[in-house]
Amino acid sequence: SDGQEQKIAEAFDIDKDQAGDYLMSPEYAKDIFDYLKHREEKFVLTDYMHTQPDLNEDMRGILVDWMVEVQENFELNHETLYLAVKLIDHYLSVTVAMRESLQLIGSTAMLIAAKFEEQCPPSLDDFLYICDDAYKRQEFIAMERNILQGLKFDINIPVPYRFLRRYARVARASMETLTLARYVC
Amino acid sequence: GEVCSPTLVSFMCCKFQRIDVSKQMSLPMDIRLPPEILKKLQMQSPEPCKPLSRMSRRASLSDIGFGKLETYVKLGKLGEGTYATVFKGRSKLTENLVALKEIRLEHEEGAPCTAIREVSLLKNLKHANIVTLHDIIHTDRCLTLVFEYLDSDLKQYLDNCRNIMSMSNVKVFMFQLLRGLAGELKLADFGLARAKSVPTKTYSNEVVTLWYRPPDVLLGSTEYSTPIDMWGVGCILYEMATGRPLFPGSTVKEELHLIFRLMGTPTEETCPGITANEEFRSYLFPQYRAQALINHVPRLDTEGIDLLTTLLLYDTRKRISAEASLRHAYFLSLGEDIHSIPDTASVFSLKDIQLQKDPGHRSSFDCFFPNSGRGKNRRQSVF
Repeated sequence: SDGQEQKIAEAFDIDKDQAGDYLMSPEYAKDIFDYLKHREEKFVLTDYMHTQPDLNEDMRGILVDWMVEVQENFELNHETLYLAVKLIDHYLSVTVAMRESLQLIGSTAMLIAAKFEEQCPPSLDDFLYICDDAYKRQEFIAMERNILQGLKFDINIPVPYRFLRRYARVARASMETLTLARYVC
Repeated sequence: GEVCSPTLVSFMCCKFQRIDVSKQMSLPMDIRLPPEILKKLQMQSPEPCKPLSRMSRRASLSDIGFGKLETYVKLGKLGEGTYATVFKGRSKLTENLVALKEIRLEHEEGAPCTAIREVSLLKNLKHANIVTLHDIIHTDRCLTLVFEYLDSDLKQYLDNCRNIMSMSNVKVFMFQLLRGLAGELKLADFGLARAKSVPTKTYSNEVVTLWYRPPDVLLGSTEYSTPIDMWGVGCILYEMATGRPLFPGSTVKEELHLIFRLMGTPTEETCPGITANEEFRSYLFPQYRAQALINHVPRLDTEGIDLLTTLLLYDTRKRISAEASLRHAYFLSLGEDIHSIPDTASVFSLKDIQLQKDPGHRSSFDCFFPNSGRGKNRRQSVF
């Protein structure tokens, strides 16, 4: 499109298998990944935990484990889970939070990520239920606003899994390899 | 001919576009602030020469009124859609006109996913043919997006020249529209690159209105994809060249009927898979043969007819893409340089690209027919 990109040798063109499948949009795949790579540099996280008086790494770990369960429960895409974790980390880099609100932050991040990524995001009722009614609807809606405003709506954050999926395709890796590789990213 | 000023630069809001960080609009950064506000900003900063840190910049921008509803005066309603209402407004900060898009927030579900996607993607866009997002105001009842105000949209423009546009302007406008779309398509694909889970239903319900909907969508396809927009572009090319909407159907059946009567009833050859489509079969349309488009758009030249034909193909895989159409022979006469201008520059930055006086333009007409009222409300397009 901009004339300076190099032509890919046909033998290495992994997108050509999908030519004609407009849902996969192979003609744009390279541009999209160039863009994601470029954008990734804007979202480098710093170690924020020492700025959080009431939180520590273990709590974050417990929260992420719970979010994995939520993802499985709602059958969400891996990208949604990864994005939600990104949202939490970026939000906690700019806002001080107390441990009581950590689960609310985690599930609201999951809600936002699902609205952004999923074809059929779970409803707010589903989130109230998985939190065992620990939080009220209005608290969710207020937290959604806090996160969106804290991140200035810049929530289209590239996640490692998207790259991993593509690299696995390039390497023609099996599903087992791809799944194992997730533990590294 | 006489040259008009290029005011109608941006079209309808073509939405998303691929962006470089260098072009990234950190929201209010590139807004031109009046001197008194700059002065106020500098007074608040302890060392006036030192660049503001992100944090203090955010605080001071909010101090001067960004992100606040009070900063904007509502002037009148411009339009209403299924999920938002658009008002004309004025910024008290800059005194500029703005368009305020108010998205109602549901009390049950929080921010709608369409709004979350729209804002997060638009935030990063800067392109001469895509409407610029200046500010976001988020309250518990409403999410308001503040856009640059466009003096005129295509409908008003066509009304204003009594539906007789100069064919050279049609070409320039088409190019601008496709330029905006070529960008949009890239980002719309973002979702698509991921997997098969495409945000679909809301898209097809809200993005394309009946007159500009392709037959594949009218016949029940819920997949939002790039070729959908290109059908609509074909309809717009026809509408600019003739001054009339191409397929002004008021029901799905009537819309399909109008399409098939002109373009021919689809067959397995022109539209693979159509004979198996239950919905199509249930309508029992007569077997129309395709008519020659040139008889319906006599002012359009051969290349233009060819472009229109490839935009209006039934087979979505054969329908031309925005990027390919920018390279179509129809646009050869605009010159080669038009392909190398930066995204953020207007096509009018090239000295050879100028708007011509439209033959039906109101001011020239009014000298002869001051009270004719011609062109008013004769058409009801949805631009």
